[in-house]
Amino acid sequence: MCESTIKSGDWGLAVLADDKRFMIKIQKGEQLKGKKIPACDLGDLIGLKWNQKIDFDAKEKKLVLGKEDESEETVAKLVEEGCGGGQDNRKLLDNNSAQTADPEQLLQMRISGSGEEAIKELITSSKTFMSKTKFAQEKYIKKKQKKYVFQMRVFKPTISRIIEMSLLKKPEKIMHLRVDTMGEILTFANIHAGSSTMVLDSTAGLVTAACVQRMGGQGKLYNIVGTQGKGAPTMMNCEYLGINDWAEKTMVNVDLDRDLCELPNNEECTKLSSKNMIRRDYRSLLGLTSAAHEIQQIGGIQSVVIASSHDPQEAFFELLPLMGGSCTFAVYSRYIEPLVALSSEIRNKWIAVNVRLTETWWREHQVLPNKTHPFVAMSGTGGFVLSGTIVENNHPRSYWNVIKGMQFDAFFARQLEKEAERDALQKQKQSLDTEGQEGTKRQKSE
Amino acid sequence: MLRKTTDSDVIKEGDIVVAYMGFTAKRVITVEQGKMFDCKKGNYKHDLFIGAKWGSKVGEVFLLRPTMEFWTDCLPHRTQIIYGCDIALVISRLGLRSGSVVVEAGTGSGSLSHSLARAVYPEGKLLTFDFHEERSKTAAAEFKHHGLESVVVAKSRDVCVQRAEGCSDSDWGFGLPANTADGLFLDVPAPHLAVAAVKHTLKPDGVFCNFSPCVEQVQRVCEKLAESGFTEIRTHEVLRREYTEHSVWYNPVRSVTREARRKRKQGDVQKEDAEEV
Repeated sequence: MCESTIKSGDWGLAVLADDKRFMIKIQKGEQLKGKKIPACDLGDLIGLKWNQKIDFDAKEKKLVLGKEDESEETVAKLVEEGCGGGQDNRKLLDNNSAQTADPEQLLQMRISGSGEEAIKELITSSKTFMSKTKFAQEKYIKKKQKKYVFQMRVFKPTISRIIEMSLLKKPEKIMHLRVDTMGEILTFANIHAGSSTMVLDSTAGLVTAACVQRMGGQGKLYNIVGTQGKGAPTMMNCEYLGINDWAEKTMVNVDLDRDLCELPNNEECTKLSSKNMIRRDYRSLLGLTSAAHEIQQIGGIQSVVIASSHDPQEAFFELLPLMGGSCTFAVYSRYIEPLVALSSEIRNKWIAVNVRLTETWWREHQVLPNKTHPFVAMSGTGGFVLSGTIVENNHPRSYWNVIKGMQFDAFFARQLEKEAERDALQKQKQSLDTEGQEGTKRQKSE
Repeated sequence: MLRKTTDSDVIKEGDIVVAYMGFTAKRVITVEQGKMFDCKKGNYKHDLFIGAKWGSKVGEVFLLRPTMEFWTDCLPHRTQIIYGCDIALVISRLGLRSGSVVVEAGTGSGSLSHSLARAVYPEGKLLTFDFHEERSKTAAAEFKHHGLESVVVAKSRDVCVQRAEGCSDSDWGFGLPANTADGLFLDVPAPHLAVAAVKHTLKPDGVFCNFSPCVEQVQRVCEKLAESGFTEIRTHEVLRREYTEHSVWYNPVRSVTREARRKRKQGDVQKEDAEEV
């Protein structure tokens, strides 16, 4: 679990020199995807340590451990050979005529892994390289190294790293959650080993995986699935983090519509299973019935996280009957408006105390000798989190008085009502169909 | 975590409880029969709390389960502490999980220490050091009282002691063998002096985090880290911004409405006509 060496079957976060990031499965036979990357077997990484620099050896066509300062040394060497004698760029014309190297040849060198040769070729074929200043030459070579020399670092996946990669590639997939906001959600909801947690998440399983990790294989996590617009949960993030065994132990998928309500007989069970078994990871069908009883036994859930594409207000009030006294909740939304509405409701109805609507201001700084300054581009917002602690309140306007009696019995009753409605609708539909069929039969006979 | 209060619905004697009277009026108390709880809203005997449900209200006081966030808000300050926002980011970035070994210096008032302990509970370990002996002992007593002694080891030590020729692991730095820690956190006045010790103690794929209030300290540390071969050196600044909502009533800009003005004007014209006539 906390190993320093890469093992076969591990997932890693590969970061290339040009800052491309993607997840890789480290196994013999797996290849890196990309047209301009040398073909290499990821099995070569097994046995190496995490976070090291990896080079591509062109002669042996293998991935090998690289030296940390090698690229700096190469730059210094090339600049020395080039002896930058220029003073400034007053005579440099930006009309693409300076470089005479053949792009096809350069591409071939890049794909075959001889990036250093490509850079030497670029230097010798450039009409203006010699006239540049030393500083400009260094900058040029570093830029070309990033493009032509294959270099990679393989990091052990952590939630922060996965979030940063997703924000670069597809932020909608994780609802634009930023690293610090994720930390805030997990902190406010007090997710810890042994807690009873409920998660409603539309972040492709990322929030769920983070909760599973924090719970360390102890306690119970009820992951709500099957609500409108959501399919079966994806367990990829748990696999990246290597916590599949913890997920097995602690996670139970519950369907808010069907669940928390007795499954009548085995037929119903098989009907459900065939309909909902879209992905192989849909586990513990029997857990669907016992979930409600478990929650009742422990007096309600203790930590609730809502990070979903549903209306935060609706989601919160749907889950409210399941929250126990002193339950800590965290509701995440990319936009503040729905949380403002929810916050007013909660405060006016005295549902919770210690209610906070927060956002984190996050700035990154470049810290280098004589070159320290904040990064010019800064994230505008990482989303908003509404958090608080549920209380039982005797205040006359308290919502608790409304839902107190409602707790589980009424919850069950409502589920049964919904089922009854659905059955009635189906019967109606069936009867209409048979009428229609009879009608056509009569027509045919007539 | 904090004495496994999740096992029961109801407060028992000896439980640690957060007495919540308001956003700025929270206190962490240990319930004991016969003791008195005095606050602005009244005096309560602890016996009233025993048997009450978690999350219920006794008189004017809400009784809530203790969490590390409440502890950070309520703990007695012996030093300047690290607050929730930074704590959340540190734990996120260190990638801690149950089973991780995390090393911290200095312990201070134990604000971050409690959250680190929660993150690595139950199979991990937190080794926390402070160069002030008294503070280290107070923190150790608190960890024990909160049921964290299986996870936290608090010692008094100056982690900035430099390595001398031929000295053993226990004579310098953190006093730990090489490659022990998955995560390492420093909040000391001169962190650049401890970077060598950090490199020795941290596992090859471990994560180091330094917290400093001044940019000069940050610059010195980053320079030392780059020299020592650390990668992915990043510096962040986080602040928590809170929003509150109120209802606002706006008064109209004009004190007299258009209609009233028109009627008044009509009235004047009629008066003038009457006068002329």
